[in-house]
Amino acid sequence: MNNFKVKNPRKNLQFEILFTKAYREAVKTYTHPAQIELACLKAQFPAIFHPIEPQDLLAGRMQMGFVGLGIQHQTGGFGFYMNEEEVVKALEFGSGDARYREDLHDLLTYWKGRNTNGIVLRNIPAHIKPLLFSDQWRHLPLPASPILRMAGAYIDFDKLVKIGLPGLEQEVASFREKAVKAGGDVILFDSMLGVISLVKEMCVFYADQAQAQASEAAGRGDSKRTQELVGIERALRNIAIKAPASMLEGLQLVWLYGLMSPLIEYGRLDEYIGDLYVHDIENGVLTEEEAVQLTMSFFRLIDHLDCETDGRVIVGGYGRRNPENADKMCLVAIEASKNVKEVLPQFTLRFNKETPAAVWEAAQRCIEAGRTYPLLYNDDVLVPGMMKAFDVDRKRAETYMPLGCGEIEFDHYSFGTPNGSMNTLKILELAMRGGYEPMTGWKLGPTTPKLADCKDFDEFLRYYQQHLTAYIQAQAEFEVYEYEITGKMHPFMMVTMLYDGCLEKGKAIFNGGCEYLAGTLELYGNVNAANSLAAIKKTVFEDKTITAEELEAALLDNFVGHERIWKLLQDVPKYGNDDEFVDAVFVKLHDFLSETVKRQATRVGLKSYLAVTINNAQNTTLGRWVGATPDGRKSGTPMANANNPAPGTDKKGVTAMLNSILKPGHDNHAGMVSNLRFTRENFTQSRQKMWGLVDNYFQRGGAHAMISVVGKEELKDAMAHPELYRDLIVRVGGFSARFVNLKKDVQQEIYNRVTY
Amino acid sequence: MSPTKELSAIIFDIQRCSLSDGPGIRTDIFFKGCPLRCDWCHNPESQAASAVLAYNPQLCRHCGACVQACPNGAHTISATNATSGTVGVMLHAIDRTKCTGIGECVKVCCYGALELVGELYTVDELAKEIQIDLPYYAIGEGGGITYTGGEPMLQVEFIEACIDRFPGVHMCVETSGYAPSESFLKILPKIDLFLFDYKLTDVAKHEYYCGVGNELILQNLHLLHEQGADIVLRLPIIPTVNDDEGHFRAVASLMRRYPRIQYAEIMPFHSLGEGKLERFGLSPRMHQYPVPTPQEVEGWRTRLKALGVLDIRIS
Repeated sequence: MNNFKVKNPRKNLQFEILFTKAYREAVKTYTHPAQIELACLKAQFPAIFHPIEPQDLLAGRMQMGFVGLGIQHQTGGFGFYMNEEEVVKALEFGSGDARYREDLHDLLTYWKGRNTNGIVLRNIPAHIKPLLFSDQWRHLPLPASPILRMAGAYIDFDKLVKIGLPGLEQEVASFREKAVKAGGDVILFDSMLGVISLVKEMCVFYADQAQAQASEAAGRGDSKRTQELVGIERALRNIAIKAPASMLEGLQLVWLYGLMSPLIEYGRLDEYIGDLYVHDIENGVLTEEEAVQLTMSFFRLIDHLDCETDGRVIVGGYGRRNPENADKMCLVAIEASKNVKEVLPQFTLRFNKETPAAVWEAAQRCIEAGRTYPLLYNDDVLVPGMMKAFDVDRKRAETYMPLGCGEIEFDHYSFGTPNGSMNTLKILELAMRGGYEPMTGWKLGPTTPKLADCKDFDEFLRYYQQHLTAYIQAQAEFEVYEYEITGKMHPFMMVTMLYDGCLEKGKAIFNGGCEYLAGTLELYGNVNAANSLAAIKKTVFEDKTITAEELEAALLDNFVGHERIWKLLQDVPKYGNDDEFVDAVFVKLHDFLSETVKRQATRVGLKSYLAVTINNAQNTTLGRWVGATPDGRKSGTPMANANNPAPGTDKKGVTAMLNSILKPGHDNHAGMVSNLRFTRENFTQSRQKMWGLVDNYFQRGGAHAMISVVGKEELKDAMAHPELYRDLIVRVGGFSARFVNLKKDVQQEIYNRVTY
Repeated sequence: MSPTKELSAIIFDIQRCSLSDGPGIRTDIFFKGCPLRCDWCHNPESQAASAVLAYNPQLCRHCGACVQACPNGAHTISATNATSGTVGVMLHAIDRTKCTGIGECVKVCCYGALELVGELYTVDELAKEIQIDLPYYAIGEGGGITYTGGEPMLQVEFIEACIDRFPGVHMCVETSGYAPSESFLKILPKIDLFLFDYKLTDVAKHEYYCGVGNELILQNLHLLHEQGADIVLRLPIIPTVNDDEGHFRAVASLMRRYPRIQYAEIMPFHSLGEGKLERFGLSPRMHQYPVPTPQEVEGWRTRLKALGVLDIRIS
């Protein structure tokens, strides 16, 4: 679980006890989920807020409880949640009087059966349960796992900033009137109005706090801080009664609304703040430097959510209504991202052939400074790709938004939470054994002949595809099921109010409100699976240098005592070297997966259901539960990350690697990530050439790149933990090579040489 | 016409995305075989014309597969200091006099500890490898292929055939200058740029440190200049060997005499090659050389500038 970065974390579970009490009361008093949700929000706010900290230029810090109402695990949990482990810890190691402990015991037993996660898991439809029986992917050798959450809400911040809380209130009120006349869900609208009132109250709550802090600051003669706090106070009082009129007010509203929703993606910042920023500069409300400082504070607050893989802020790209002002704000945001040396926000630049040179140059400098941000997304590849993948028009496709680790959605229009993960290498391990899991002896999925009983490679490939298809189908059905059960339980009103179509329909987002309800399936292990298929094809069926039985025995022994076989497997070409044979196997597998996943949408009743191949630590975590594989990978070791070659297998250098990763297309899935890591020396010595290389990659169809530029400290770390730096490219006497592929002495020499 | 044997050459490395051996992004082709024996050489594995076996003790697990595979008995694995109950320290020894470079041991080594450096390529095979990099030659001012080594000028026929496969691609040769003048004349029209090494001014010193004199080298430099070739003069500067005033003055005088040399490029000594001697079982250097600091390298540039060499780059 993430730790919210607040100065004085709560020391006991009094909030959790009070929240439980409030929820208990609510379910006795109300029947409508919106009323229950409103009661829960009232119990949560301001209780989980933390004070404005001395460096904050915007108000709003929080610490989600171990029990509460959230939307995904980084917001405490999904739906009504309980962090059982922490509650038990408080009982086992915490202090407190008898009454407190009694309440904790009660809380534990109360939520055990009532938390949303548990309810979803207990009610998984019987026909998919045999394949998706657990979500404990960290601890069990699962070929596929459901993920419980509603991730990726990108609400209409632009509208919120434009109309403010009073405008939103008016809009909800007018739809309420219509609902009264037409016999719609009036309680839902009433509850929404209650939520807006609560947000206004919280503006006043923090305004009072800022006022109190301001007089303290004045008391100690700190005029700068006094002024800042007075500014915050004024902004908060203003946004409670009218639409934001300055950059400060706009960001304050976005931040407080987002915090309470709770959101962890912060949308197209340059679009929704651009006009106010330009207004403030033109009217002398803010200086450039103050605008950067304010944006930095906003970024630090996003970082305080500590939500690792999310916290996206997106700038640039087609489809903004105010490109000129937005591009100006874009430069401010890049400067802020360069200065805030934290993990979050995951600052993202969408670019295209119209991106101003100044923006591109600023982004390059930010990346060169070793920030890794902005993450680069190429509109000219992705917009046409997404039109096809999602079957939407160009205008819609131009609003694409990568969420979390890189799944694509459309701004405040589609919802495509990734609610399943699938380990294609693990499934290959099963398919080779006819469906048996070698660690546990579980029999999972379809019953097919073992590899040894296959006449040719195509026959085995068909069986493997059968296994894959079974899990894909189950995951698609699970996605729909999770939406259905969530729709009944959770209106998530703060998201609903600012998602297209929900107010018009008078329905909560997951209860029929969302215009484009979609889904995504996270794939892991594809590269290793393709390498393994190529190895099986070549050694077992074409060259016949290894029998299927020998292969199985070698895998079970982790190749120990089977060195001849291991060497033969290693010598089969690997993805990442621009090798036609294996790259074709990879592309074929990738397309099979993408198309099969895509086909599920109409079958299960989603607008789209698409595969994603993304970046996070699951290639390592899931790899832990896969034995040795035919690509020569040893038991339990990490799998390749995203679309990148498997560790140590791309031996032909960067150009060949890029050629390989350019082969899969981008029009049948919802995101595929590529990582490039260079040393700073590459850029100090050959800046133009390096950016030429990146530019060339994008011009040839590269959709995405995450470029890390590492310095001396990281090189040292790379020597100690090569597994974490598999994608690091260094200059070795004038040419580039993968750091981890170099011999230790050469690594040491490079480390000695790289001086900044 | 009698059937000719298919052209081939031993190549010990293909480096892609090379950033400093000519303009743009380049593919460096490293040929084996060099007539020089520069004591500081950072690619000592390139000197012999035939394939060399490389051994990396850090990766060896002493599995013994190579011992079985070698028909010449070049590998032995033994345990030393074994006391009762311990296996002691495992030692993998290679008798280089028995190794014929056939690479049977490499075929069975699955830990990457053994590697055969130098592989026979036909023009077709090499062209296929180069093909991978073609999309990158369009980047920036334009890249291309750099033939280096070893001494690529010992393989002009092969290089010519290779050049013909890629019309319009920028071609570069990096040379010690120590090759028959006819070879230079033959290949000259097809080469866009020569990266020409100038190592030592004093003939006796050149013989001592590099194994040959520098007369032929200077003669070829003169020839190339006369013929209108594009040249970059590359200056390996080895502290204690050639960082002296006499050599710097000689460089300045060469630059004056040959005004069409584009610029001079300092190649400061680095120690990347050191670990290689052991790995390839080569005899140690005659001398140890200090690695210059960036300040020292800057100092060389300043000194050359003072002598009138204005366009100097540092590699």
